[in-house]
Amino acid sequence: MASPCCDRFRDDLSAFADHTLTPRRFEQVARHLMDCGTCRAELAAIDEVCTELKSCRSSSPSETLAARLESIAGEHSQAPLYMASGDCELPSARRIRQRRVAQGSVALLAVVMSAVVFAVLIAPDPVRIVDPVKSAREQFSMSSSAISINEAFGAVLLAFDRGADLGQPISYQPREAAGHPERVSSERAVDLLRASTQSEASLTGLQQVWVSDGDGLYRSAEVRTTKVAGEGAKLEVYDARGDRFLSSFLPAFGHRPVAAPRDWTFTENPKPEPILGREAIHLQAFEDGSPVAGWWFDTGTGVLLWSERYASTGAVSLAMGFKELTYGDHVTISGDLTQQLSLQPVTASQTDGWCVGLATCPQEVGGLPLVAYASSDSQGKRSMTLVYSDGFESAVVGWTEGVLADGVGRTHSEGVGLTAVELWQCGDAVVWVTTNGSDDLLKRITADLPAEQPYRASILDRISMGVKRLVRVG
Amino acid sequence: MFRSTKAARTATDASWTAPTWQELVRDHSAQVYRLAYRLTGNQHDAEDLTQDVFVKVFKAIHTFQPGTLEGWLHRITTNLFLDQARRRQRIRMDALSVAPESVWGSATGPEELHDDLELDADVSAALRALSPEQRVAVVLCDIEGLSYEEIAKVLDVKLGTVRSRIARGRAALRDALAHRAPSEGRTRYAGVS
Repeated sequence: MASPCCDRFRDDLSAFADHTLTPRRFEQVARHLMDCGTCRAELAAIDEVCTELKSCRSSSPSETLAARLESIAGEHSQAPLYMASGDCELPSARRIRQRRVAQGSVALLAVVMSAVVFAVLIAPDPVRIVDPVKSAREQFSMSSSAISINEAFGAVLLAFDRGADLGQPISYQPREAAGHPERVSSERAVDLLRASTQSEASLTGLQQVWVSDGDGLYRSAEVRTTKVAGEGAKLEVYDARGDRFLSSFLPAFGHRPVAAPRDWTFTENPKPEPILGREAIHLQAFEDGSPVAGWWFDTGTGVLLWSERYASTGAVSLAMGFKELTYGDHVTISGDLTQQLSLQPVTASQTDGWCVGLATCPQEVGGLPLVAYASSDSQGKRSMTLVYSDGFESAVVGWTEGVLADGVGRTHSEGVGLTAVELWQCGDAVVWVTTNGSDDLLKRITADLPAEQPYRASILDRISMGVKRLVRVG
Repeated sequence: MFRSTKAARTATDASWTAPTWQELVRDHSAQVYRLAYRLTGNQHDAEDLTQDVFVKVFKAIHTFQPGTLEGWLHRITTNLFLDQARRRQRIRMDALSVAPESVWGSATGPEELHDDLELDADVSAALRALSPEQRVAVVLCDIEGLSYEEIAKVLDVKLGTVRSRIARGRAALRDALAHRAPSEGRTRYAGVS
């Protein structure tokens, strides 16, 4: 009976008989045959079959076959044939197929390699953010003008950021407190501010804004304001020469949360103070006993007529007040209007894809609630702007795709207009925070955001970016 | 009219002259017939196949590339045989008839075969029981005496395919011929006596 190992040799016995095995295999089979009678008998049987077949005789064709074959050519059977001479191998469709597959593979490989190299070459370099502090401030100005209880601040800050000539520094005379202010609750303060933001009054007027230069003097600009209830506000900033430097339109933003910071206290002057021939309620805020801000609200309409912000030294750092003011329902907004920043109210968030770039867009940072946001999802220039405000302090958090220019690391900057900026690289984007609040607030906000992380683009990232660019071109 | 400038151009040997059709038939018809006969197993089918081969050669002579004429004729003969065998096999399968062991020459009765064949009747029947591919491989190897490499070139298949077709064909032949009793000068075909 055949042993199991015979199965490994049986298929090769035929080739062994014809001596067509490789020398090594031939030797293996020969060694097995020496020990295996079954396989020897099988080999003998194969030899016998071969011998039998070789001894087969052939019959002769019929006598008419040659004539039938010659007649195929008809009258041309005597003419030389149209054929080439020479000696070479038979054509092989199989080899041609193999050659084509090999050539195709090489060509495909070459194309893929070229595409990869090309993709690496054309991979877009990340956007270099050259002056991130300036951009962050500008963004804050635009955002705060859009959500601030007084839009003129933001408009002037934006004009200043954009290089408006605000002329020589001038002095500012702080408004003097009259009468005997009385302590009021935070709720009262919040009510006054909320009434101001939700005022239904339409008005037109000229405001002046003073921004401290830190040396006791102020940069000043005038802002022509036209506000139509339920529609929005038109703001025109005039520079030192009286030329209109910036004109923008801010749509009515709707209701915003107003909540007083926990450690602020408030006083109110029970006796109305006169401004522009109107009576104004004077509200003053204090932090740790030092004045932080002062507001003067029109007793009739609730409109904020004047406001001041104070630095820790007690000096006025920012001030704004109406120099001219006319109320009236006939006021309309027309002319060349530009919307500087299109913010979405926070109610539009929580929909799919509203948060761009950041893993999560927090609904609250440093205790300030999210009030508005703006995002851009265009490839290579994606950005997210989140505006947080409690009505008293504001912070703008940004995420911008790109890398900080060489030599720029984590940056902290404080400058004119009470805005402090902190920004850092976070992977393939820059995260920045701008706030008009305290250093402590800035630190708390920073702690709520993704940490610093260096920008690293691997070769795979570059290939992926290049391929995306190619696909877009295609 | 059969000669052309192309033919003259491709002629590498100046002394070489293209044969006439008559010469081609005279020199090669016996070889083609012999292979056809060993494949089909009877004179009638072999002559028909030979005629088909030469019709094809005549039609395709202008496409003949310089090379071995014998190899080319082998290839045409085996290709035509395989095409016709497969076609007959398909027709039988379509007719849902019981597929006979043979796919070639089955219309020929045993008596006729006996008269017709000079091949040993048992061997002929055993050959006809093989698949056309195995039969071609075994005939080219064991009867025509071609090497495995030559068979691979004629059939345009891999050497391993040739090896396995021959091995399986021979195994089937050995089984089919096992009933033959050993005789003088001949051992048993299978098993150990």
